[in-house]
Amino acid sequence: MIETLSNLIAPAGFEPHGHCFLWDPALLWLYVSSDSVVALSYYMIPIALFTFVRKRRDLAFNWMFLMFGAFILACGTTHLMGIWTLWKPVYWLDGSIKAMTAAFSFTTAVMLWPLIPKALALPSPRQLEEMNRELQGQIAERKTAVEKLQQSEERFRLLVEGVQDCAIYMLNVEGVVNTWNTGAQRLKGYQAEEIIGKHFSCFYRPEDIQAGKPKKALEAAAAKGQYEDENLRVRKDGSVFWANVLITALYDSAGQLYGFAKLVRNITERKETEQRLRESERLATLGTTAAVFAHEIANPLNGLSTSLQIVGELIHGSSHDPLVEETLEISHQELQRLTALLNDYRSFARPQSVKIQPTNLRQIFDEVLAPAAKHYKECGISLELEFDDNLPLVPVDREKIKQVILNLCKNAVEAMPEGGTLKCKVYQTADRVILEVADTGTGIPAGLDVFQLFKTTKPYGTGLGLSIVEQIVSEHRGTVDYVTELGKGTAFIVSLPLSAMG
Amino acid sequence: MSCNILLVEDEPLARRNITIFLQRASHHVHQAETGEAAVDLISRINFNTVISDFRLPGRINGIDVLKHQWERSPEKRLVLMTAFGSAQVQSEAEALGAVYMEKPLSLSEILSSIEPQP
Repeated sequence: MIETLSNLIAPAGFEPHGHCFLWDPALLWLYVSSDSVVALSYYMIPIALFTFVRKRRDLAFNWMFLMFGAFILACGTTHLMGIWTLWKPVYWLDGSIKAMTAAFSFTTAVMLWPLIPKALALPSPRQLEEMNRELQGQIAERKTAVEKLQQSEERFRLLVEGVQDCAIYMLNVEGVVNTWNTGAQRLKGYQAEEIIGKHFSCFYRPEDIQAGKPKKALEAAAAKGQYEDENLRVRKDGSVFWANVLITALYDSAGQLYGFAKLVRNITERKETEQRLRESERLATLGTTAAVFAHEIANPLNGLSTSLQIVGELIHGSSHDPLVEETLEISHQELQRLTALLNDYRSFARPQSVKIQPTNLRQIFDEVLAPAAKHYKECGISLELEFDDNLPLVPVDREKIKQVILNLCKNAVEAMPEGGTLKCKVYQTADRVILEVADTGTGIPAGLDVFQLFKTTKPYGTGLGLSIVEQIVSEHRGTVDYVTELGKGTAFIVSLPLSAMG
Repeated sequence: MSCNILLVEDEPLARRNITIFLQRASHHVHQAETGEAAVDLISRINFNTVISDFRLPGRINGIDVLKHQWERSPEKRLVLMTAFGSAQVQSEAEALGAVYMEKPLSLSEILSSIEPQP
């Protein structure tokens, strides 16, 4: 063994390689310098490979790089041995190293082939670059989409925030307010910071809370997805308004209820219009009823009246008992009262259509006042007329306005049982014409709604006259009002628009 | 002077009373309950005066009856009575030269409207 080793290092009988070159210095130096540079280069390559492998820990097939390193290192060593054997004949050692190099080389070469398909399957840098570019594009797209979504969310938020006519807000599952818009603030009077975190039942009236309505509303919305209601709701200041409420249940992607969206609109105006409409429908029904009633009454009244007239005719001058004539006269008066009531009913029951035509109001006053002049004189009533000289023709329903003037004059005269002055005045303002009918009579007690149907202070009044006046004036889009003082008199003031009515 | 009068009225009591009143004033009164009956009488008899209620059973109303008489001889005296008056009916009646009266009626007014003024 020792002999083998010594044979390897210092073999007996071999000549150093330099001997073959006849120790020519130039040839020796050529060999030494060439082998040195080759060996140095061969040593530098594995170092670079090791460094690369160490730094790129994710490198695929890094063991192959290490195999290459080992094989090149071995190659370098054979060149170093070439220099050594110039002077020392360590050919066994040289041969052994060559054999080792051969083993590394062969192993590496053999292992390299199966690696080729695997290495080919790896994406090339260009492919990676392309993939990278694609990814960058996708990222940019995603970024734009996110920005757009944010913008859209912002726009939506601003939209909801900016809605002034509707309250739009959200509730959590329990009914606690968690968002609040300007409309809600305007409608309900709460600032966002006052109401967020509070339960929405504070918008309900106490009796509704007691009846469990807030809870029932949320339950109904959760069960059916949506719940709509029209009812009275309470503002912060305690005032109530008619609200149309829409509650929509909100579910997440897993179908789990996470809250409610509430939309509340103020419908007070609509409700009031509906109420007015119902009132006018009621009045129309009353009018129709009155028409039928008036007709049904008129015929027997006519029969009774004509019968009494015949009785009067038959006994005229033949009865010596003054009670007979007196009783007949009383019956006639009562019939006249009934007739007056009937005529008022007729006015009230007449068709409601308005026939507008340019009308001379002064002429109507003349038509009303002239036939009554004698009666006024008998009652001790003097007339005072004041008409604007430049009064234009006024677009009104002639017959209906005549009824208004007739009723007002009749009322004025009846308010002056002891006589007095009936003053009629017509004048024009910017866009209206004003009719005033004033008396110096008893006046109207405070707190009495004289326009109310069947309301009267007169012992023989029907309570229809002023209701008819108000009805006709409102059909003309006008207004009627009065000023009164007990014991001094009353002035009724009718204001009619000068523009033709639509 | 005695007049030959046609009275068209569907209400029995009114018809009776007006007839009695006019007869007591020495007038001759024919009666009709419907517009159709009245038109038939007008075509057969020469009346000085036609007094008609506005609303009548059937398809012919008081205005139609008066118009019928007016077309035959427009100079005859006409009276329209109604329990349910309106300005339109009044103007239609007055266009035919008829006297318009709302019920309850004044019998003496009927009489004075049909008798020639002195």
